Amino acid sequence: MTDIVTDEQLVFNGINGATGEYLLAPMTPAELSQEICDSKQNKKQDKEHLDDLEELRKRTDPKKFAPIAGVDPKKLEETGWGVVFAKDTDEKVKKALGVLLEHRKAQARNYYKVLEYQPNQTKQEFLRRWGADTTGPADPEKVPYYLLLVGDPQEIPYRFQYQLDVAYAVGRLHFPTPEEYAQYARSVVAAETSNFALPRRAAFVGVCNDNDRATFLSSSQLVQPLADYVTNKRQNAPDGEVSPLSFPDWKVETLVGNGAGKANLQKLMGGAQPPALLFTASHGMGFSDGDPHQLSHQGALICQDWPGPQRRQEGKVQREHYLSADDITDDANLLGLIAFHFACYGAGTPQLDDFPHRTSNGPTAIAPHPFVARLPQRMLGHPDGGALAVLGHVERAWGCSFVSDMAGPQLAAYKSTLTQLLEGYPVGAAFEYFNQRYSELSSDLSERLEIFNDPDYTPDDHDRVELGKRWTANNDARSFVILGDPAVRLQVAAAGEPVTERPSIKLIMPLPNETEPKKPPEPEKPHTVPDEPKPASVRNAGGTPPQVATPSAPLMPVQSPITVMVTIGGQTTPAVSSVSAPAPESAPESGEDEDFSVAGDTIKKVFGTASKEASDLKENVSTALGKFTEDLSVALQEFVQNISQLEVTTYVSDKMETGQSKDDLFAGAHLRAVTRIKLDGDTEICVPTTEDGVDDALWAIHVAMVQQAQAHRTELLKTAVSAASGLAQVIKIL
Amino acid sequence: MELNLCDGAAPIDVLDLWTSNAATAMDSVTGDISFDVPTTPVPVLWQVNLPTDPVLAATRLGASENSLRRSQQLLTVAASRLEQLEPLGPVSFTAGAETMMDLPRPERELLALLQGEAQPVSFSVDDNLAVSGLGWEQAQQVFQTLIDKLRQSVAECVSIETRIAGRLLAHTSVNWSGDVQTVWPGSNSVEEVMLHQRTVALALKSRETMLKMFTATVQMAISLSLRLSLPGGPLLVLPAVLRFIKQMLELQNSPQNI
Repeated sequence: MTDIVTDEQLVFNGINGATGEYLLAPMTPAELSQEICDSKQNKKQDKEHLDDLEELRKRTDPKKFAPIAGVDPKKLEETGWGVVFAKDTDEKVKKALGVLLEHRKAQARNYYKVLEYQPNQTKQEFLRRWGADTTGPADPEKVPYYLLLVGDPQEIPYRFQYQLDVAYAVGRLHFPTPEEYAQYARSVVAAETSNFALPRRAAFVGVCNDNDRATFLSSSQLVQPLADYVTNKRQNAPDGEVSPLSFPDWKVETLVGNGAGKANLQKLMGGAQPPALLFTASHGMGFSDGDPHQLSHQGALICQDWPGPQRRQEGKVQREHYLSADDITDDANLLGLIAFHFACYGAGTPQLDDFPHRTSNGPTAIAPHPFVARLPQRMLGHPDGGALAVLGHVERAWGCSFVSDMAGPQLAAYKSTLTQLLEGYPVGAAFEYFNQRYSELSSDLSERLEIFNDPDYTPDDHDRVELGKRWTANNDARSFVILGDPAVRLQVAAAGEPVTERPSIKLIMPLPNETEPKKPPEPEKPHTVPDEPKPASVRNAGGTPPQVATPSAPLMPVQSPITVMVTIGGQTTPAVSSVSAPAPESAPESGEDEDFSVAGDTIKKVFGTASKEASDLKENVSTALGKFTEDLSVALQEFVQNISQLEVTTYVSDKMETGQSKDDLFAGAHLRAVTRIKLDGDTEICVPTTEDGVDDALWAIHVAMVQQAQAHRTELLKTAVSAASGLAQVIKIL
Repeated sequence: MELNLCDGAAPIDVLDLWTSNAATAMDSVTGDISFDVPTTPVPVLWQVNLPTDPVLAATRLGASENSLRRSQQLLTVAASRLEQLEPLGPVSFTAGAETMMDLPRPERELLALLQGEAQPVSFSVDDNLAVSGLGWEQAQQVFQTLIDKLRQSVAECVSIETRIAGRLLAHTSVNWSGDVQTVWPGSNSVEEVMLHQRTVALALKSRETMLKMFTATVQMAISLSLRLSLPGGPLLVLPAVLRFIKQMLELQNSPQNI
């Protein structure tokens, strides 16, 4: 996660998951500055970057980080919205994002653009290619203010994102699979188009590991003050003073120290109702270049469960100490969430070390390639509703992000960003305060480097210390990024308005061609259904099913039932005892005409036989129940008679028309697949084929229907038996 | 009989989820009560008509799934609340209307119904549901609705259709023992397939939920009739308890009560 800035040394945060040690050994600012000044690679690599710094130095007015004058950053029809695809982006990815692109196109209207990034383009080259000014605020007439980069950081480098983000509101999407792109797109559109309104609830989580100064500072000087800020508890303010920036209608949950354990964090990201806004500060997991866990767990959040650095001799950080993508369960629903993870590698990892290059020969590789952290990927592309955006840090995050050794806490950028998020600004616009901070730090650094580059200048130790600090702060500030669409915003209910439960937008089936086709296992070959087979043709004359295939998707075994008899209304009905029927209550002994008194309160008799209305009512209810009893009895008998086999058939019709009767529909259809599951587990299957073999698409549909039918049958049986038991009780009482 | 996924404006059924195109007792709480149960249950067609936008379609189905889930959860809550219900005598009911008014509306109306007191004044202050003879009529109608639906749902076959802006997407027929027949068009997208599968699941879950509602109602009626020593036993308490559940369901689904 962070470093701690002291006069003596810089203590870097971020924990090596394999060893439990800090990722970078402490060093003094003087040592750091020496490395900066000595590094030839630095000078070469950052020449263009320093030119940017020079430009930034001229733009300290925060308004200059918004789009051009006259454009409201809340209105996409004014700011524009664009997607930037990496060159040769897979068409499946573009298609998967289609619903989001259509949605944004409708919002941004004439200022909607689809752009492409060419390999190795600089920001200037990119903007020039698309006809935009290479400096100055975003002009939607040329390139939209909100830009969504689609591609991994190998295709669209982080450095380009940092540069472009200065004048534009930039976010990035990268997932390993098209399904996750599709799910993210659906999540955003669902959140913005379905009257979706979450409760105004925010959670602030501050890990404070034992004997770890980094997380002590981040919990006490970052998380707690920010939570207090939102809850209107201004530090050092007289009692009763009300902040002009207050959010009284927001419910804030603050989990600092012992409350920041993995279990609680997992609840926030996997429980029934995650908050709308989540802010966490912790160490991030790091691994050595090439470690098998690096791609999957780097950037995972180390929780309060980690015993701290003094016990790092115990070896690697255990799985139960940190929250990774693996811990976000499938039944979580993160729809609408915007999260900010202050942690090393919380958003991603560059291939090369962005911080002091440890040798003069060039930057050190810290990963086989740059990548987006898996945890935010999992959150954004969650199959049951994804987060809208995750803000985080690429590379190591440093303590100078929020605290200065000379000036104390530096929270203005955080508070301003939070304020704008809570006020409904798109996340990209709200995040501009971080760009402003980066600009200021860059300005300072630029000045300092000019001085250092003067051949007549001889820096002393103090100068070197200052350079080291400024370099670190600058690189730290630029590395905050948005993962997700920069135009998303908190979808919360207005004060006093009703909230809406998160809808499930689960994809029931995978996108076509993205999974291995479900084929029957060898050596058995599927029985083909070339043309309307008769169900009977599944078996051969001998009655044995030689061409039976087992679907690759697991089929639930049919449990052997134990038959019991349930008597309803004089009819004895076989049912199944594997289902637990509710325990019968004892029947009352009272007669219809008796008087009654309960707890000293006389309840007026309304059910007595003297009442004509009550008599009619009783007769009506009794009649209705009797009819239902008969129906249920017959149904249960039928159920039991047919329980030995479950049959699922799938037809295809070229003539499906509205208004057709059921019989007409099936009469004009072609039978394409049949599955029969016997009580003893034997399964007979006819699978669909095409000229090329098994029709995978239809097969997948059929298997899904089989699974659904099995699950339904089990549940229906339980429910029906319970209903029958209930009826039996009533009849017994009568 | 066609049951259509409720779109917010149409009359609602016992689950507050489906509407019916047939004018039956179950769809109206103000019409004449009919206990003339048809001898042969009418086959049921569960029909869902979705918008063309796949995301909106999925969202709408998701909202209905959530609503159904909440209905199932509510049955447990209702049982718990009924267990805590204590009867109030005529004196406290009339002179101490404040005590009655402290109760949630479903409890208030259930107690009033069971006590047989027509005290519209007491309850006309803050809501539109006067406690009168109409209370029993409503209770009977709700009960009749459920029984009718249950009878239809255990019919030999139920059919389930998904439509996209009126266009038939797929048709599934499910018999009581669970056998499934589905007819699909010659070509369909994965999203459309998913929508129909969710529709099928929604319809079948609705049927299960109605059965569970019936079972829960019976259990609660038996328990309540024993605890309050109500004459006539649980048989006559059934409609009142079911109306109690229905009111809780309506309140739960009312936006201002979320």
